Amino acid sequence: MQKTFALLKLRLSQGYRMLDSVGWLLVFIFLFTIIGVGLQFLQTLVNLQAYMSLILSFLLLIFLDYARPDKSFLSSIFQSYLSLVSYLSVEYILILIPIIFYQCWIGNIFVGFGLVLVGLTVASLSPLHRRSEFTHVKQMIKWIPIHNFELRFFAEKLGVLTFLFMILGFLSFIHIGVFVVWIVLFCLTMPEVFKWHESREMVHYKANFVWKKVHSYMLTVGKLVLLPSLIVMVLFPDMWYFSIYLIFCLFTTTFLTISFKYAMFTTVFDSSAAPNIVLLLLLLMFLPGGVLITLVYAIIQYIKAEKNMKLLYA
Amino acid sequence: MLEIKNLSFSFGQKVIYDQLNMTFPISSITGLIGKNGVGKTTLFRVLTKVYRNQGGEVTFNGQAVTPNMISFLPTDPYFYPYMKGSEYLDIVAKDPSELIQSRVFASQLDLPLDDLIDNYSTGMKKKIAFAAIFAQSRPIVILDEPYNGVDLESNEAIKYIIHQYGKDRVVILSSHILSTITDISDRIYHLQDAKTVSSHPKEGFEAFANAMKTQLMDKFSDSE
Repeated sequence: MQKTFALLKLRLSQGYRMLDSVGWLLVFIFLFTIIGVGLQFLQTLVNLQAYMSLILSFLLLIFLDYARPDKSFLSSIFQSYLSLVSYLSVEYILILIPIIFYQCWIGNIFVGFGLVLVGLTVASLSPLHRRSEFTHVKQMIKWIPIHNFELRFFAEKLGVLTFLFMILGFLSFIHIGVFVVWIVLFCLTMPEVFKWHESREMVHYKANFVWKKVHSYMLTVGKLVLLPSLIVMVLFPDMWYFSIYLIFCLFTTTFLTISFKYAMFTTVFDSSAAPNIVLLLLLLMFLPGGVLITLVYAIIQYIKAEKNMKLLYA
Repeated sequence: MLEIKNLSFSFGQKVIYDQLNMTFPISSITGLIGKNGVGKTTLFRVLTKVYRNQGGEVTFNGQAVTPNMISFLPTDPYFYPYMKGSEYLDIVAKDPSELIQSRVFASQLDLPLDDLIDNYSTGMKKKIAFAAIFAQSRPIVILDEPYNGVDLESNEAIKYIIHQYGKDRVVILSSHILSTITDISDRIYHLQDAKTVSSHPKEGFEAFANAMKTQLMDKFSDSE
């Protein structure tokens, strides 16, 4: 129990320190916008039925649980299955708390209770599987071309997750909400894809290096989302403008994360994780018009990136 | 005593161990050496149940080994982002006595506990993980390359801690630098391939080190 509290305290401190490093003004503006506009916007547009929030929350938690890198660490510090599951249950229920409160607020008490059960279920399943990098020989995914090696490395590292992710995309015809979750997850995964997986020596500079990379990934991302987007637009024609907005967000994310990677590039310093400002800007995109702010920031980073690469390889 | 009997393990078609047998007495420090990829880290992962062995058994004092019996320092320890050194020690310690012990080790290793671990160097990260893990009161301690990236002074401190506090426990450590193992170990296991493991007692270390040097020199001169 003491360990559970220590870990939860740490998780809260982590959040505080992360936000502190971003700057409180930006955080408050972000929260104000999210609370004031975002929820209303999403509710009106997507009009999620109550049971959908159970399914989507389950998928979201499964995705988070599968991708979390601390599973081995947690099993080494919690000595029994029960204590590990107790900790994970608290963590997952806390993640769902805003949705639980929202559902209770609008009178869906049973859905709120169901969401608690979703947290408990995912926590109980969590110790039963481990990430494949610990249990299998790494498989090479040859169908992703080597010039998209960032995507290939990511897919090789999290193979099952990539597969589930693609399945989710092709299931988006079930409900527009599934498509929304798919694109949001896609955008939030991008900074992880464009971490420095490669060594500095692998950077072979050519003129317009960053633009060529952006262009190549725009095509790849376009190919990946083309079919699900068309299906969604045909099946939910009243939502076509919303679908196009989301796809535009995805392309902006691709542009931002690649530009940022090379804008921060130095020959010695490893900026392996996307800073919090990038993550906040990605979330900001999903508010009406927010994508324009992100796009402006991405353009600035792009100019910086091209200059930076030219300078380092002059 | 920790006993590995007829251990078999493979990754697909690639056999890593075939009927491997080893023993590790209590109150002894055993060094494990071998070429890159021979299966040292894999052995540690089998012992800690990260991998499931496909044959044979691993026992401690006659009972099947469980992960709760083992403190394991991996080559690349995991740390949460935005976590302070002191918070890491709090989380890893099971009770106040382990926490006090880990703080003593951390002070012997000159670690700034109020700093974020993100700002630590590679060696400092290794040291904080060592301090936390070695302070756990579990009967088996496995240290996978504990000296990696660690400065000379801390190297000696780690050796001292292992020597002083490794009593009454089974300590197994791996390293690619022979002297760091021969300095404190009571015995060395040399993993050569899936089936071959040779055991060398303390009194035979010098002969073993010389034999290895000669073997390597011969190999290089042949290739030239």
